[in-house]
Amino acid sequence: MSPSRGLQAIDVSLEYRNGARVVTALSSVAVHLEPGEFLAIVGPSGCGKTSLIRVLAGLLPPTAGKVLLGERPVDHPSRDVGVIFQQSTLFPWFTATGNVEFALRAGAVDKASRRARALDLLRSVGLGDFAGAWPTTLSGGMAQRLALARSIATEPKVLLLDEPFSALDAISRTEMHSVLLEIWHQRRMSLLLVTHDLDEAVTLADRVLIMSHRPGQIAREVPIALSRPRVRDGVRVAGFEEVHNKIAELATDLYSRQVLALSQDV
Amino acid sequence: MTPRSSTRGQRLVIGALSVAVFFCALELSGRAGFYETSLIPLPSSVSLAFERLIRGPLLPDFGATARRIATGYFVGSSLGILVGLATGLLPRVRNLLEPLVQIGRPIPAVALVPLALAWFGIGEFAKASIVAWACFFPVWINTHSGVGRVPDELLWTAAVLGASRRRTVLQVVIPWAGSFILVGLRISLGLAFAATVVAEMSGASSGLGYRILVSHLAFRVDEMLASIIAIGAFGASVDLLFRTAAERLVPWLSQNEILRAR
Repeated sequence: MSPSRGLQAIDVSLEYRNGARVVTALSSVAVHLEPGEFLAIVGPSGCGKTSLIRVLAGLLPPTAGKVLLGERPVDHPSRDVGVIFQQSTLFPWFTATGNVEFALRAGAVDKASRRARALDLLRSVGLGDFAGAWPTTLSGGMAQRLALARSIATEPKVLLLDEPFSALDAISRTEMHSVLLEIWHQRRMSLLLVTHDLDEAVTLADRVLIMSHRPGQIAREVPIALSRPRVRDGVRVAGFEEVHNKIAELATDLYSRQVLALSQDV
Repeated sequence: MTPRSSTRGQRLVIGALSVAVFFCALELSGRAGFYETSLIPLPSSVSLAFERLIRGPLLPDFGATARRIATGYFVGSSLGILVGLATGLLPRVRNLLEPLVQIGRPIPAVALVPLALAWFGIGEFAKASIVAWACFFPVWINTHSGVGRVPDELLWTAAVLGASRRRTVLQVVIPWAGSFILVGLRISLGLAFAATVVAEMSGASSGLGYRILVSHLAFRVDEMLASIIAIGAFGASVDLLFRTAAERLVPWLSQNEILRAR
């Protein structure tokens, strides 16, 4: 395997014990995320997407294989690889600003400039007016925007997103998409979005990987060359439907070969 | 806002009315000879007894009781938090101390009163240790389990954001446990009152518990009731104070109540 600058999962397998049974969550998964690339992984529930995120973030050691960021192994969590989880992980005892400052603190900056940077980050996700708000008073969409601001505060090279928009209503989700694209556009970190929503994957990603049922494997790959923004005022660009249908067909074909009973999950 | 506050006003008026009607009926039926007023004193004689006590020993009694509650509560709760953090955060300390603490936990403080008297005599130390014993366990168990129940996602988030172990404990684990600790502290506050009164009934020469016992021996039911009401009112005010302070201290927990109160 040649050295690379992006995030790589090389032959990653993950097994865990469930009572006496050994469950294989991931089986020889290979993912290569180029610097600045926006990659989406789609797959049915329970296919190991969340396990993959945890392995890529260094939160869970794989049973076999390795994860590399550039040439450095990712074997513990670090500020270079950020994660946004599905459910809100904001600290309720800190205000919006406090949550962002938590991420800035390790960077050894003085108090005033830390506050200023936190406010900048809040503004960049449209929360400039909510600096003093407690997380419990924020809507679901605002909470995830705050989580995004907090994640980019560490200036990660890679940001992993574990279905962060799945609990949001359609309007907030669309709003989140444009906020995320704008942040990505400004900062050009690599993004890896795990989702079960094909529309979301096609709206956002440069490339979509389709994961198989458990044990999770990367089964198909679809590059998306459409220009952005791909959805403007609710209207999709020409070619959107074709890509969407192609992914849907590949996925349906894949899952019907696998366990038929589970395929309605897609 | 207006309709809600008016219904709240109505509730208050109705509540006050029902209390007033109850005591008026009690007073009138007592005066009419429907019950034995030396056993169940008239509300008016209880308030007279209260006045008498205020001019006499009530305030020193109150002071002595408050001091004992405060000392025992402070010592017991502080130990509860410290030991709870230690057993919750450090597996070695947990293995070492948890069995001991679990042995002590089912023993009610009240059962230890004679033992404390035998060991420490009738001084303040005996009383403080009984109260501290009562306060320690609820605070310990709540701190201990609160610290151990931080959701994984929060710990992962702290790790991904580059927080050190020290910062994770101080800014994630302990704040998370804070709401549990507050629950323990509030339970202990009630227990501190109970333990103090019992300790004062066995081997003391001052305090509201002592006053209740003395009135019993002198068969002054009116003074007994006045002292009982005094300790009840004291307990209720301290609890209210505690809740108010807690809401200020941890605004993220009481967000909804604070918004409603506006």
